Amino acid sequence: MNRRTFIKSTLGFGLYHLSGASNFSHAAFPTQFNKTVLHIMLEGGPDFRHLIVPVPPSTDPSPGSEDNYASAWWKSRSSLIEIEEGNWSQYRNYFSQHYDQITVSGKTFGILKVAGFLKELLTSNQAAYICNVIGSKNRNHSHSQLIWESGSLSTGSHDASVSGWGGRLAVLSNKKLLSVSSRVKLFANGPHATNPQDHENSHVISASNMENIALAYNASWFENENQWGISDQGAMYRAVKNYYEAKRESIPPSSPYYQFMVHEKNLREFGQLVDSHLTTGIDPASGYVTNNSSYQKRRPVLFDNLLKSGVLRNRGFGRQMLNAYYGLACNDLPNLASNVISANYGGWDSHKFEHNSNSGIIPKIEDIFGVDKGLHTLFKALGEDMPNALSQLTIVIGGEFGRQLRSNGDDGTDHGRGNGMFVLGPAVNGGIYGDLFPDSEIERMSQFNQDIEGKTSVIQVCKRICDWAQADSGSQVFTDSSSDANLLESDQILNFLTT
Amino acid sequence: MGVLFYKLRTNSVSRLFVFFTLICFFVGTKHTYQPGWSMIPGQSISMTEFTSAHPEVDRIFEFYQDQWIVWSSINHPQFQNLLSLDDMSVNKAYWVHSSIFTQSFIVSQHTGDTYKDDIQIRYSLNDLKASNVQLLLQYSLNGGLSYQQSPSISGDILNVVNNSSGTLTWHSGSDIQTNEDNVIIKILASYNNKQYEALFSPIQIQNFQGTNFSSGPNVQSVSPTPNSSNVSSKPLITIVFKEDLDQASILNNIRLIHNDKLVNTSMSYDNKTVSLQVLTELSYNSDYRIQLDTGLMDYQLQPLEQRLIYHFKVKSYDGFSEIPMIPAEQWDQAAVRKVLHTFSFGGFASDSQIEEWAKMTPIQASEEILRMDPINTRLSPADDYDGLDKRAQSLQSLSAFLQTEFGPIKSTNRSYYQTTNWNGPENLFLIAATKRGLNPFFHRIGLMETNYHMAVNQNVGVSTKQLISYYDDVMVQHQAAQPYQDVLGHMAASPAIAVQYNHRRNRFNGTFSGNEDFAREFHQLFFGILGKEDQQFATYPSYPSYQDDYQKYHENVTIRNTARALTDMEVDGDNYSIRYGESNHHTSSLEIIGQSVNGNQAYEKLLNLARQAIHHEESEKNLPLLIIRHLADDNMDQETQNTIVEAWKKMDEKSLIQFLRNYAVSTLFHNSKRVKYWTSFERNIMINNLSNLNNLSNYDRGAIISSNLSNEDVSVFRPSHDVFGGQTSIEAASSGAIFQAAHDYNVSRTWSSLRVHGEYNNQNWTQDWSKVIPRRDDGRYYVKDVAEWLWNRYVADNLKNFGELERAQVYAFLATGDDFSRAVNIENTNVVYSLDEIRNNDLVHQIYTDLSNSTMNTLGNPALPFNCESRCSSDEEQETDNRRIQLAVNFISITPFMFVQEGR
Repeated sequence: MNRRTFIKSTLGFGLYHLSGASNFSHAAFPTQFNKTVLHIMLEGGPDFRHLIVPVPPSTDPSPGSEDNYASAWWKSRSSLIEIEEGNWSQYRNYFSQHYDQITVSGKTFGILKVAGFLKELLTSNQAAYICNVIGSKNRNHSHSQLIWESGSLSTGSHDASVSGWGGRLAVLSNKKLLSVSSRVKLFANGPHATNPQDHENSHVISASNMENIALAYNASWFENENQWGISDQGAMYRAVKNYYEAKRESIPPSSPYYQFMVHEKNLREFGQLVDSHLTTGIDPASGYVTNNSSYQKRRPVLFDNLLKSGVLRNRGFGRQMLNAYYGLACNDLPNLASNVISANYGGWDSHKFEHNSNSGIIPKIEDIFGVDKGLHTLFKALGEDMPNALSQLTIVIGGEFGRQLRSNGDDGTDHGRGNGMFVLGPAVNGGIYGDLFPDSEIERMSQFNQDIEGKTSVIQVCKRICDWAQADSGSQVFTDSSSDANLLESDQILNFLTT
Repeated sequence: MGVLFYKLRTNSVSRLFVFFTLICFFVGTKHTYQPGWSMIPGQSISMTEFTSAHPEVDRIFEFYQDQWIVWSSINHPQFQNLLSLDDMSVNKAYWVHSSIFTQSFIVSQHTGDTYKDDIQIRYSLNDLKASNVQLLLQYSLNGGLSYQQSPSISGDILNVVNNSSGTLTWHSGSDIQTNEDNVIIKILASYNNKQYEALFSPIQIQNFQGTNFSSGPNVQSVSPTPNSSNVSSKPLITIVFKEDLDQASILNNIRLIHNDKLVNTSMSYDNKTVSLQVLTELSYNSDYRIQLDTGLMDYQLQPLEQRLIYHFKVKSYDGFSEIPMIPAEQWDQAAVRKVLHTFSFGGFASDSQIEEWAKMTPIQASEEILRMDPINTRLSPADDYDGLDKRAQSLQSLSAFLQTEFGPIKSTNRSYYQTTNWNGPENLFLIAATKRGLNPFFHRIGLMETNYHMAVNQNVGVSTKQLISYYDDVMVQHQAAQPYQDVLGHMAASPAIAVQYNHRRNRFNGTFSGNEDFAREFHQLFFGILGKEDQQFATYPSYPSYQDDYQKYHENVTIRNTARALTDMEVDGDNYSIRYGESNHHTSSLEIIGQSVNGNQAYEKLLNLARQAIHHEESEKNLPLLIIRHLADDNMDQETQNTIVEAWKKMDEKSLIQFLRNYAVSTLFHNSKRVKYWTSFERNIMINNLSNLNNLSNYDRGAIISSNLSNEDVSVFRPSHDVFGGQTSIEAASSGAIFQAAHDYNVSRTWSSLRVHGEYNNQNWTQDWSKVIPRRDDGRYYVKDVAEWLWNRYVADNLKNFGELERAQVYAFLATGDDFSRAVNIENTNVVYSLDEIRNNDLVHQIYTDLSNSTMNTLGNPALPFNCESRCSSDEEQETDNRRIQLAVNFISITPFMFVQEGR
């Protein structure tokens, strides 16, 4: 550990101590972890330009001198925040009400107050914001998501079955991928042995609910089995179990039926094991509560608080963070060591009411980046229970495209192309990478349909992340060598991660 | 329906949709235009007057906003709406004739514009370089939308020589036996591998002889034409009388009959005309007769003198030559079942019906299975318990019926089906898709259209009433056999869509205010136009401003102008009602995807735009693939994609039903490469339907389906990808959690699936499989027969995957109610028997064989017939057998073969 890393980790742990954590680790938790990438896909095209904004002029600019970035930006966003264009005092009021002013990498900007944890990470150099990133050049959600998640700019709009870069990274590393979202995303798909248009997912652990990941089983089904009979559940359980066990070897990976054999095998092999481990094998430092559900799991207090009604706008995201925590807690169980976690948060298509405190993107930003919200709770829990997992965790957050510079007439923003990306975690060289507020946008902000110019390919960023997770894997995971895939605003950008 | 809209203007000049630059127009057409430019008269003149004076004119151009545009193509139907040329710029408008006909006119005797029988046409030809021209005659009865070639012409029609004049005679009475008031004649000259045409102004033809009784009603005309053989499958039947009728006598004395059975029609009478609208599509290539009985009376109560019968024949099915059809020898019951599983949630057809379909030609069967009507009695026979087929043609009417005391729902649950219930849309859909008497294909398409293709989402503020009406609206469009582009255009203007995307707030008052969300998704989601490519781009009016940057054009012109088209659409609160205004609408025409889109308000513009968008290159490439990928194939290779796209392209008027009917019996569908993973919707609804032996029991047993869907994280009308649709097949297959939910339902949460009798709504029900499972001549139900029957019913693979391992468990459940391990050795039940042991271990194989050969009772006992009657010891025994079948169904449902379908 070099000095810089040491200082960073100290700062990081300082954050977690804010929550009253006591010990760094507990014996029941695993201590050995892989470098792990947690990918959070924000579907819909998130407007990060509403999260990180220029500071409005401190005094009203005189007419004709409104040609700096901040002035142009606030004017072009007036309708979104429902302020009359050019009302500078209102802009300042809005800014002071909703944003904190911070300086990172020598650049001063505002960050939404609701993103308190992100602010802490940025100011403690554990968050990198990479500007002007571009994946798809079209503005079609589904196609752009395919491109983003597959990691290939040549992915076609009908290529819904191809492999994803997360899946390729896990397979290449001979590790599992933990899919904590409600559905397994294309990002998680592994490469198919023979068909590049298809995928194979035996490396995926479908962990959308780690508190109930075992196939239904109840010992009582068999308690009264005798010569006269057995319960229907017992007979069916055994029939299915024995059938799959006998059938397993006869269905080849090329068969469309194969993945259901894999599901059954995975669930049967680790379901009960995980269930038992999470119920009795771990001892969260924050304590635990017994879930009232029929599964009778013990849920860490930190996450129980997170999942209480009213804490998150989208409790599903909180469950994904809990699933990630549980997945890492099972890292030392047989065949469960993972190095990629796939999560998502949808609903960022903010054509209307973008800054609305209920239906807009602000509650979503808070769910993810807020103090004591999703990511913060995960960081705290890992910091308390599995600090080695936290120290090797890097979180990647982005969406399929960005939004237009100028707000539309419906209090929202329409589809653009370029956007920013966040990379978070102890291994990150925090800072702002790329031109945060390019002057070239000033004139375009007053024009129709203008968006953030993409200067760095998402593939360059993700390649670097793969190389961090698994040495020299980037060029194997990403094979797209087109000029667009090689786009890089400056070589300095790739310094966002330590080695 | 609460939709209000203004009709297309018909009494004013409107610009045509198609704008071309003049130069590109010449380059881009097959015709080499002959000299013949003339200036439009610089004074007021009616179109009729002008075209009468210049019958050879077929294109009119105007120099407008610095470019030449095609003002009118006179064989275009819109020509009928052009009343004058007053709007044309003096000295800047020209006509041209492209034809080699220098003159052509009708020389027959006539009264006004009315002609009869033989019609003589005099013509002159010019500019010929060869001497063997052949003439043809075509006529249109629909205002020029389509033409039929007449086989009934004579005269100077062959080897016409250069610079020649001639006369041909059209024996119109052989082609048209009715009175038609809008007949357009076109004569065609085939010359030098090209065709030239001369078009005539519309004329009236009076060929119908009618009746001439001295008293009582007399028929003046009948449509479809008596003895015609090319009638559409959904015709409007009209009988025009010479006298007013006694209305009370109409209902029972005018009938449409097929195979001596009455065909359901809705009848109306207005101005001496009786109209019969058929309620369901008529059978292709079949004879029908319109019968007028002598009980029919005129207004003086004088009866019809004698029974009148008019025959017509529905046209043959329009097959697609582009899609190869499954060979007859491969069209078997398993193939039929695959169609049923994929396109109709399994359907409710009886075994005998499936056998009958397997004996038909594939396309005939496809036509009977896939019908865009709420009712299809072959696919889904009526159920006496609820009679939904008579009362639930839409989700709204279903809702109304389910809430009455005469409906099938027990009183405590009726409120679940109110249109305002928070889960009403899903509850109603699940009844519609899972109950006998209603058409599951119809609702499979409904799910696709409203939850995937043109998805609306209850979670983003679309009200339950709007969702339900939206669903009904799109299905009414399909039921009416609207061209697909019109269905899409109509739905794009829907209040539910305006709420979903919020363009209800879009305004245009010199400048645009609003969002461009749906402006983009109209193209992407509804039509598959992504803005990536267009070979016709160079012909677009705004091309010069964008040169080769088509994506920029798409953004700055197509998207921007579509947003302007989506203005002034005021939605009435939570109701399915919308007002299309003009004051805040961009009423001028807009250039979108290279076309000029007209319309005084949003509805007109969207409908007109849809008619252009459906033919856009990207739409033709993407839309059919989106449909087939969603419904049927997760593994399309490039060749399959190309074939599908070509077939779609070749349809001039896109018909979803025609496309699906052909695809469903094609070698593309019945192909070993095809793989279709079932979504949670498809699998759960299909298993329910295949287990639905009667609606009464299914209201009780099937109620769990909503819970199952919820456990698999899907919900109808709450698509997981919002407007991009619900859970995909690939997502369903990739999810271990979904497999787990299915496992747990079939293994643990069996309280519903294993119930075989109960009471619902004060009536007792039984899940009585004995009425449908196969029974041998000895009256017994043999395990092997029942097992194979069940496998084919649920898996539909012709037993391809029903190997010994599957059979062992299914046999054991049917014969003993236990798993196979227990059946083999009750003392050691945890043994896993391999395929090798079942085949080669003598003891295991013997037990396997015994199970297979046993009848539906415990081993070792004399076989008892399933329906116990006098030989049965108790009701419990029959119940046990039914329960064993349910156990077998549960087991089959959790095999891998119930999660995915292979094409063959």
